[in-house]
Amino acid sequence: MWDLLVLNPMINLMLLFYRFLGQQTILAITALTLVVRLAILPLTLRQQQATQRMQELQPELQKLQKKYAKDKERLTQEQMKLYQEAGINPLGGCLPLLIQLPLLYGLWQSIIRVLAVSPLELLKLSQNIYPFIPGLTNLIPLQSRFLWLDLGQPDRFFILPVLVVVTSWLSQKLLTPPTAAADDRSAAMSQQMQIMMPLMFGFISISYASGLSIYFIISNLITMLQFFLIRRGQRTVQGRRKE
Amino acid sequence: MRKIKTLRGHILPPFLLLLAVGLLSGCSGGTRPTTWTSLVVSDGTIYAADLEQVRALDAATGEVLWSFPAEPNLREYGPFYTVALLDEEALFVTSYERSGGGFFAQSHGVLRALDIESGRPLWEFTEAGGEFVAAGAVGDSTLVIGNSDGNVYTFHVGDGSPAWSRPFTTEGRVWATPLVISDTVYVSSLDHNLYALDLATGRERWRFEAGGALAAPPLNLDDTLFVGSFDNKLYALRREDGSPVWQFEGENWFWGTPTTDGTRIYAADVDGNVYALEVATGREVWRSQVDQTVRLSPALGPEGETLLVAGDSGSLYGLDPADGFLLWTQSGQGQLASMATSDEVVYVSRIHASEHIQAFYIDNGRLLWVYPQPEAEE
Repeated sequence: MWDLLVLNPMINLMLLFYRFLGQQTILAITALTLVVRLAILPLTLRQQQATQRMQELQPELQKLQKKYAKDKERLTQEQMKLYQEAGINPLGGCLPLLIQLPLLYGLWQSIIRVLAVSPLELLKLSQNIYPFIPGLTNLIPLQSRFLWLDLGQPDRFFILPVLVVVTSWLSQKLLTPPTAAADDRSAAMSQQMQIMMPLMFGFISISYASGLSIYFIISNLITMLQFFLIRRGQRTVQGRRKE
Repeated sequence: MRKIKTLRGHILPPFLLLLAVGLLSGCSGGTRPTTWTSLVVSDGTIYAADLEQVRALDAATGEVLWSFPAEPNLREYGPFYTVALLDEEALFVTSYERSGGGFFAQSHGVLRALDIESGRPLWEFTEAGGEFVAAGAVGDSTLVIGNSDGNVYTFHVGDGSPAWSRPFTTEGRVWATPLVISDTVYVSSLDHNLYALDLATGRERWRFEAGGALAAPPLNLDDTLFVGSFDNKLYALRREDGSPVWQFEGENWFWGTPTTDGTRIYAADVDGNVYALEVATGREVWRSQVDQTVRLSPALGPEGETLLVAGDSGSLYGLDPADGFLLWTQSGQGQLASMATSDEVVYVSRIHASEHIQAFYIDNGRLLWVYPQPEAEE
């Protein structure tokens, strides 16, 4: 079912991009990443809005935490009341995230499958290609040479893993809202995640096909671009409100 | 107490994250194969590349005669994937080994020649840029082998010195065992081409370009080569110049080499369709289907009474070559990685399975022995 609904459409779309973009694997990965990110853009926006609204409520929530520090039950009641008054669902940011994650995982899987690093992977790919689109099967295996890279192998010079770490750190930094000083533990956690997540992606880049690193870098760049565009949009709206 | 809590708060999340990465990237132990293992049978002995070790087993009983290395040692040797035989002299095995340490370790293909009697290493080659996916072939004291780096390498079997002035380079990965006939070697490449090369010099004689990738060596019958491709077609080509005689279109990729009884060609595509075709014309005589992906080449029993088809998900099928009727099925755990026949027995190797090698009677599919044997596991 997963292959039918998620993996096969993505794989065949990537093969079509590959065919029409000069049989350049990097362009096919870029195009597929753009399309998937565009498709989940409404969900991303909703998630970011929910996160931002929760952020705006933080001062109020902290006041409540201090006020009812010894009465957890009352604290919960007051927090729920605050959410209701502000018209916020505290789990509102989770649902879009839950829908996005499988799609992003599918995107990751389809890139690995199409790159067919090993014979075992290539055999699996034979079951993912739509037979009703003529000529797709003739494209296999994809051209994997690009500059110094074999996209099916990790980057031997570690240039891509470094780029992955840098862009991941930048996008994490942009997306993580500043945490109030009063909440030391959250701040520490948040800082750790800002360091650990890029390192984790860097480690994956060292271990896996460099085509996947290309995906990480493009995805991070899109995240950053999206962030700047949304922030500019919000500033414009705020400016109009003030006027 | 607060210090411990803070420490836990600081260390636990990154630890869990690293654990997740470790599991994701396979640091949890065990050998994760990148390709299939292989075995060959000769003179009552099976030589098997069995990931952690290369083993020689008694074909009648499955008893281990020798292993290389003596104990599994993946830090220095292996995993081993392919094995090729030069009768009574040497065994050529390939592995995909990691060099360098920790996060920065890189894998590369290694080719070794082992003494056939003892398994003692004779020479090795470590300069290939990629993985050796298929075994090499020997002709005129020359070993020819393809690599994922796109090169075809040749070696003098005695000392491992290069036989050509430089490797022959194709535009794609070479995942097929070369076919050596007389003074010519035929090489299938994922770049869609079948190359005919001079065995002595590596000079190209001709090439045939198929519509899709070629992952298996051709079958030779009289003066015709039969080779399957990822464009779903099976081609018959004149051996002299590579010109096409006929082509047959299946339902999906042809990965394995077809087999023949002299009058018919038997081939299977990866959708599990098995075809019997007339040698001269490529006309379809019958078509049957097994319920698994088929990658391995089909094989005929000694009297030509059973057509053996190996399913990728672990089942071995015996079909009637006359009409494709299913005679017997043997299902098993893991993926079937290779198959070889000798007299009345078929030997298979498996990956992702506890039973690595099995022997079955060809006529009825009855199990003869398994390796490792159940009592040896206890």
